[in-house]
Amino acid sequence: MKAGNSMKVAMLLLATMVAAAQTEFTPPRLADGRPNFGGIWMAASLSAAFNVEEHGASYGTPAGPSVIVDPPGGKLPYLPGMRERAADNDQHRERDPVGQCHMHGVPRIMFPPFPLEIVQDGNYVVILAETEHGVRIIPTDGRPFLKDYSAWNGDSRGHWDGDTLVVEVRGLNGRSWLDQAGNFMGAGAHVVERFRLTGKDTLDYQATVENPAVFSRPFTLRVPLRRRPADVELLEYGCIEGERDAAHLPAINGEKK
Amino acid sequence: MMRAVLIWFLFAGTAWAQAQSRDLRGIWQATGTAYRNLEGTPAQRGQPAAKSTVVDPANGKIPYRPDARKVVDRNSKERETSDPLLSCFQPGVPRAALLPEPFQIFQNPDRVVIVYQHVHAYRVIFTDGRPHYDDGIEFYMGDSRGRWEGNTLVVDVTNFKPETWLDNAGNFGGNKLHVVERYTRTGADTLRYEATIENPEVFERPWNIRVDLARHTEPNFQLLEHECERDAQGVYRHPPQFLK
Amino acid sequence: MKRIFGLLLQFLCLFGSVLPASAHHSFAAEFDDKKPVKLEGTVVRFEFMNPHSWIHLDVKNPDGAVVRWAVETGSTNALFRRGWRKDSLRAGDRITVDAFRAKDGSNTANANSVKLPDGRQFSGASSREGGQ
Repeated sequence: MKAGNSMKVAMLLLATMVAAAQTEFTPPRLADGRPNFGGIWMAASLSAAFNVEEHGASYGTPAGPSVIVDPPGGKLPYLPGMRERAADNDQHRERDPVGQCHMHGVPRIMFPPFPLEIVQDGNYVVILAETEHGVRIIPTDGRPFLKDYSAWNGDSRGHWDGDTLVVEVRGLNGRSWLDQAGNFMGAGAHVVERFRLTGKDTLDYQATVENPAVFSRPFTLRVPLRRRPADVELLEYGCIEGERDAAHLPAINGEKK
Repeated sequence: MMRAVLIWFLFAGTAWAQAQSRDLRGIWQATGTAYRNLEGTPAQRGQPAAKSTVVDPANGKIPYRPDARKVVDRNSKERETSDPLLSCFQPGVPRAALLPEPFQIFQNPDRVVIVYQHVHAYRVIFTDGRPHYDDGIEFYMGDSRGRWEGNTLVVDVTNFKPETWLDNAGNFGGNKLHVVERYTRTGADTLRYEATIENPEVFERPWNIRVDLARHTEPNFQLLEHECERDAQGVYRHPPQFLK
Repeated sequence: MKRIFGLLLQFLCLFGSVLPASAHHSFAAEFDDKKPVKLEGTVVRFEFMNPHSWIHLDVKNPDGAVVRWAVETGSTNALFRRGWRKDSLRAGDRITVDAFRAKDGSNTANANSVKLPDGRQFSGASSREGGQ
């Protein structure tokens, strides 16, 4: 009997140890107690930038799995007719707004093949994107959303759920694509993101997107971010100046571009 | 014992006061019309005259070399088509601080981040002593490294691309431009902005500007998105009205 | 500076390298991977910029005519992180470029590899690595 009890105790101890090992990562904290997300980050896998759904390789595009974690099956839950629109975009990639130097929109801005910098300061979380020198300023002070707002990166409001930063995004202008393959969200989309540190150098990023005009139900994608080496800094990325339209631009300071 | 307590209070109070004074956080904007012409503008179209922002040299004139002055004159004539801001280029430094649009300062122990509403340009200003980039790369907003001198944030800016102006009038700094900015809190809602501008290829000597910035205190004030769009010809254009 | 660039090029040859020419937007938007071109010419100008750097190249046709080509390569940021600088290619440098032609048939191409006269080659196959 004693042996039986010891076995139970040992099993319980083992279970507790295993559970403890799987306990959430305790993040480094700022003076206000919030987790410190600060640093340079980039999607651990760049495949979502090319296509958020599972895809094979083609020139300039590596193969990759779906990053859609819900619905199961990893496909965007397009309403009838909407996938055809995405396919049309795919045949006309010159229409990609990113190719025309527009900011990526949310959630696409979180997983381009270029670094991001997260800066926290009091009641603000700032996400700087290298691409298109894009910016998201996320207040966490509970202020209301802007009314009647329409913007590439929308209007974001954050709050803390334990050590998870939850960000709600409204006011997206619907002109952004979701990826290079032409998947899209449409006007009126509503996004809720969750940011959580899962390790010293890993940040779990999830976004739930809802738009009853385009999708039959909300979907969630997940793109883990990895911290870049300490010597990486964001570099300025002036896009408009370098696009082929430069030929149309007048001479600056007397010099022809 | 009392003396020790008093000294401690004095010390803590001084540290607290300094921390408040080194706090540049917030949303700021230049009042006035320096963005039109650093050298000032006469009264026109119902607008009062604007004094020069150039505080050195004392005559308020930018000390251009003669060949550079010719470039300014040409810029000025063509400004309704040639201003790089019309083509949606990032505004450069110091022009970004003088625009009639707000900017927001965030501070971390090792960096100051400034986000400008104008075409969402931003700068990350490292204050941990790391060096500039070599001269093999150039930026519209330059490369910024900062340090504190008392309660003034001094920012050294190099590595400029040549395609920026200093104001709407066509004043420019050129490729080897070097700017040293100084940000100093002068009150609860005021920030003094000074800049020393030099480039021996363009100017006969370094010169200084000074502009006072005001904090936006409206409740829940925030930067709005200011994205450039293409016009009917497919060219990136701000409507010229923006730069009146 | 040139020496450092040369050493870096050798490093890249050893470990392979990526010309992230289209990480900004899709290669397929503008270029046709069924239209390969090989361009041997003299650099006129190297524009080190985002979202793409451009090599302007004078190429002599078999009939003797000199044609100006614009060859698109990676973004400044991607190239800079690999050691390129604004003067990495200079006017007068003779290079060979394997590229894919623009869909619209203009003298524009997207570089797959760039080779210097001494045989050192900067080659890549995809835009996998983006800005890093």
